[in-house]
Parts: sequence; C-alpha cells; structure tokens
Amino acid sequence: MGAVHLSHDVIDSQLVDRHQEKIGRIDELLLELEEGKPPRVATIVIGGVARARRVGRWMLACHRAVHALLGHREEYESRIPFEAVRRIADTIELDVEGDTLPSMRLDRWLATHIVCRIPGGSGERK
Amino acid sequence: MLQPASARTNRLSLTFAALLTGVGCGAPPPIDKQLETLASWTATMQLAKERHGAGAITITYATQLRDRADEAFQQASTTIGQSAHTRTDSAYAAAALDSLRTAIRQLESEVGS
Amino acid sequence: MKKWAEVALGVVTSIGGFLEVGSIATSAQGGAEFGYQLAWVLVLGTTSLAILMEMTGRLAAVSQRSYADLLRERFGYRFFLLPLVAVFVVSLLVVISEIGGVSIALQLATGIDFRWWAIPTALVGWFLLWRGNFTIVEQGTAMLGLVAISFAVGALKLHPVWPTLGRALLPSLPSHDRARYWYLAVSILGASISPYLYLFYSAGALEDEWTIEHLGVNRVTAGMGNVFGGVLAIASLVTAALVFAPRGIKVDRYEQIALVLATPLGRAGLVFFIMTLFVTCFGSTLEIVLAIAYLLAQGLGWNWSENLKPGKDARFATSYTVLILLASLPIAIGMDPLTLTNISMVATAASLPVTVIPLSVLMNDGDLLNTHVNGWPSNLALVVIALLSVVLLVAAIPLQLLGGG
Repeated sequence: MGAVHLSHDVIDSQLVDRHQEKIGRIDELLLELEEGKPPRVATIVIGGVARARRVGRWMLACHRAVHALLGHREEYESRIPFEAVRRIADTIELDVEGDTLPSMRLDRWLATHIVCRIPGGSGERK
Repeated sequence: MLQPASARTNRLSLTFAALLTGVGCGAPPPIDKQLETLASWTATMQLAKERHGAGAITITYATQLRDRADEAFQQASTTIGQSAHTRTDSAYAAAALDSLRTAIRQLESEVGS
Repeated sequence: MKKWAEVALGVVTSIGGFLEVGSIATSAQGGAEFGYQLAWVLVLGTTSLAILMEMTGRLAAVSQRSYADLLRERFGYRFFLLPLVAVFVVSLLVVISEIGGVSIALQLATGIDFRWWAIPTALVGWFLLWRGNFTIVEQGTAMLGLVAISFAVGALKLHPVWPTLGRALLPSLPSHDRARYWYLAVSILGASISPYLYLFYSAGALEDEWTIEHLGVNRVTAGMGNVFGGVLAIASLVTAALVFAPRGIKVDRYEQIALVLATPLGRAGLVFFIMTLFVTCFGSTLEIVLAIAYLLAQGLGWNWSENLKPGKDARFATSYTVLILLASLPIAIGMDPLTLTNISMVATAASLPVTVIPLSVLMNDGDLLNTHVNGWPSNLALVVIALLSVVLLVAAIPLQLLGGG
C-alpha cells in the first residue's frame, strides 16, 4: 500500500463506526511524544473544541462561552485511539460503537428528547 | 494636521450625525421617479379595470391591487411636496396624483366595491 | 429504459427548480423596465448554472462525495467556514423570500394578508420534509412545477417580436438608466446562479445513488433541464416586456406581476400565475432548507439523508426544522417580500466566488475524478464563470446603492 498522507487523506475525513454509520469527521489528530520513543499518531479527536481551536484562540473562547452559557461542564469531545482504525479509504472505518461516543451526545439528546417525540421521527428508513 | 482631540471628535460627531440624518430621514426620491411611480400605478389600475371587465381577474385580486395603489398614492402625496421644487414640478405632481386617484375610483366602480 | 426515465425526471426537476420567486421577480422587473433587452443575462445565467450543476453532479457521481463533503475534506475546516457562512446567510435570505412568494400566492388566491400564511407554509413544508423521502420531495415539487409552462404559453399568446427577441439574446448596452440596467443584470444573475442549486444537486446525486454510470444522465439533466428552465425564465421576461413596458408599468409590488398572465390568458392566466408562484416557491423553500442542512451535516460529518427517519439523523433533521421555522418569521412580521427578494438576489450574486473558485480546484483533482477531470473547454468555461463571480462581488454593493430602486 502506498503512503497515506495525513493532511490529504486523514484529517477532515469522514469517519464511520463498525455499523457503517457516520459519526463525524476527524477534527484533530494527537501525536504521542514519549521519551526515548519515536512520535506516533496516537489519538483521533472529534469535537467542537478541536474545530474551534483550529480556527483560532478567539473562536475557542466563543465556543467555551457558548458552552458555559448552556451549562455544560465537560467538553463533548471524543478521543479515539488511532489503533481503532480498520480501513482508510474514501471514509475511515473505526472499530467503535458510535452511540457511545461523547461527541454524539447532541445527536442522541435530540433524538430521544425531541425527534422521537414527534410522530414519524422513529424508525429506520422512510 | 494636528488638531486638539476635542475639535476632531466634534467634527467626526457632526459628520456622523449628518450622515445618519440623511440616511435615516430617507431623502425622498427625485421628482421624475415619483411621477413615474404614480404613472405606473395609474396604468396598473387601468389595466386591472380592463381585465376585470374581460372577466380575467377576481374581485379579491382587484381589491388587493387597489389597496396597493392606494398605499402608493398615500406615500406619494406626503413625499412629492418635498421633491417638487418648481411650479412646473408641482403642476405635474398634482396632475399625476389626480390621474391615480381617478384611476383608483374607476377600478372601484368597475369592481363595484 | 430506467435510465431514460431517470433522465426525464431529472429534466423535470430542473425545470421545476428554475422558476421561483427570484427569477419571477427579477424577470418581471427587467422586462417591465427594459423590454427584451436583459434576455442575454438569462442566457448567461442559465448556461453558467448548467455548467456548474453538471460539474458538481459529476463530482458526486465519481468521487461518491458531495461538493459540501469535499469543501471540508479537501480544503480543511478553516476554509470550509467561509463557504459555510456565506451560503448559510445568503440562502437563508433567499428562502425567506421564497416563503414570501408562497405567502403572496395564497394572499392573491384568498385575499387574506400574506403575513398570516408564512408560519402555516413553514409548518406544511416541515411536515413534508419530516415524513417525505427524497424522491417524494424532489419529484413531487418538480412535477407540480410544470405549471410554470403557463409562462411560455402566455408569452406566445402575446406575439413577441421574434427578431428583436433574438437580438436581445446577445449582450447589449442600455440606452437609459445605466445603473438600474446593470443592477437588474446582477439580480437576474443572482437569481439564476444560486449556490444552493448546485449544492442541492450534488447532494441529490448521492441521495439518488448515482455512480459513474450516471454521467450521461447527469449531463442531460443539467443541460436540458436548465435549457427548459431558462426558456421559461425568458418567457417570464417577455410577458412583462409585452404587458408592462408599453404601459409604463413598473413592478413595485408582487401583486402586479399576476397581470402578466392575466392579460394573455384571462382568468386561467391568473389561476396559473398563482399556482406557479405557489408551487415553485414552495419547492424552492424545501430545496434551499435541505441544501443548507446538507452543507452543515456533510461538512461536520453528521449522519444525513432525506431517506432516513429523523431519529437516525437527528442533527440533520433538527437543522432543517429550525431553518424552515426561522425563515418564516420575517414574512410573518410583515417585511416586504419584494424588497427581501431583490436584496437576496444581489447578495447571492456577490457570494458566488466562495463556491465557484474551490470547484475549479476540485474538478481538476485526478485523485477524486480519475479520467473524469475537466478537459480544457470545461476549465475555460469555469475560469470565465469564476471571473464573472468576482466581477459580481465587486459590483454588487455599488450597484445596489446606485440602481436598487
């Protein structure tokens, strides 16, 4: 297999979980820097904070302010070990359960509290 | 050019205020534009009257056209005085307003409202 | 056989989507004030749109990702924010105007003031998006949009002067009111080349599961669909040119425009006008709201599809719900629909560079498109459109100030 380019093929790519459901995009990659060991790509980060940080400090501040306003205490950010990657192609497949990810919290909250309360909201396909 | 800070601030505030007044009060459109608008609504009323006579438009619709023409008339009556600077302008303005008023009445009588 | 059914449907979709409040309003104003003269702008706009749609369609069919997906993937999150914000703001203005169009249509029919119709329209639209799948939304509104053919019929019955119309298909300079002429030209281009149209088309290609085998369908749909659509827009201009211009009627209120069909086609004309305004604006409302939701969902990696129940793509479904309800508010509080339409058309024209220029990069990416990258003619066309978009951006504000009646 040829070289995989981090910038071109990995960052911002669409992620799917083990059920082929879309779970977001790679918003950030974290390198692990350990004494005596070569650096390696360690963690995939999905979340609004990572995105905001990429834009700039001011954006990060706005993001934090909005979350403070909404009363959120933690960051809803998913950190997934890079070892979970199963396949890198048009999308990147991860061996995770999408429903358990912190970054999917908004989706779950909306689905249970609003969407599925409105007739026609639940089910698989239309 | 050096000016005392207070004088500069004063000049800026005055310019800003003048701009705001100009924009906010909304200088009325020039006289020829207003005359065009009046003529346009007069023609609209005439076309509507003719179309109603031909059975092409409903009373509901004709009434809406009449209401819009009325609004245009009211607006023009108040602003045209400010734009008409000469006697000729005022004469044209009076004639245009008159034509529109007549056309509106004619549509009303045609429609029977 | 199925392919040709798809082609036919695709063509129909394009017609249905072409005439909407923006085209109707700008063509009517253009025809009333300048006769046939601005017809060339519609030719320019239609051709540009056809080219952009074919390209975003090809992009989706070959790379299996929509234009919105690729704006994020190939340009990064930071750059993506630029088209995201621009398209969001501008498209929201347009959809507010479309709801205005539906509301005016209902007012014309019932006499009940347009303000009352805004929220009901949004609720019905929401319901169709919530319960309907992509096929229903796409094809339903397109089929009904065929009533727009009444504009072509009306134009023919008014006996246009064909040689003069023919000459007007070529660019010309105005003999009077230069600022107003170019202002209307910019608005007509904004109405014709709307980013939501080719973004929606790209996402729609994925909803319809297009692959490399659909490239021919794509070309025919984008090409012929827009030709038909462009003809209808020109017909709308011609009706205004023949009914309003000779009488010195300028379009100051939507209510006047119904007369362009009530004159050649009598009572049926009024009915067809109301139906056309209603259906085309309603269809566009759904299309634009979905386009924004697709852009958001695809750019951020959410699950999305009109073919999934809302519970499976909650963020996507919530987005279009919030958008359609929000968009009804300005009309509900009584903002003037025609003024909103005019502003949104110029804003659209000004926003084009952020979605046209990235496309030129993507259409030459061999990794994405393999052998289906642009040839030099397509690239030339794209460069011309990109230059046009920059001219529009620069000219928009001055013209709005100088020529925005």
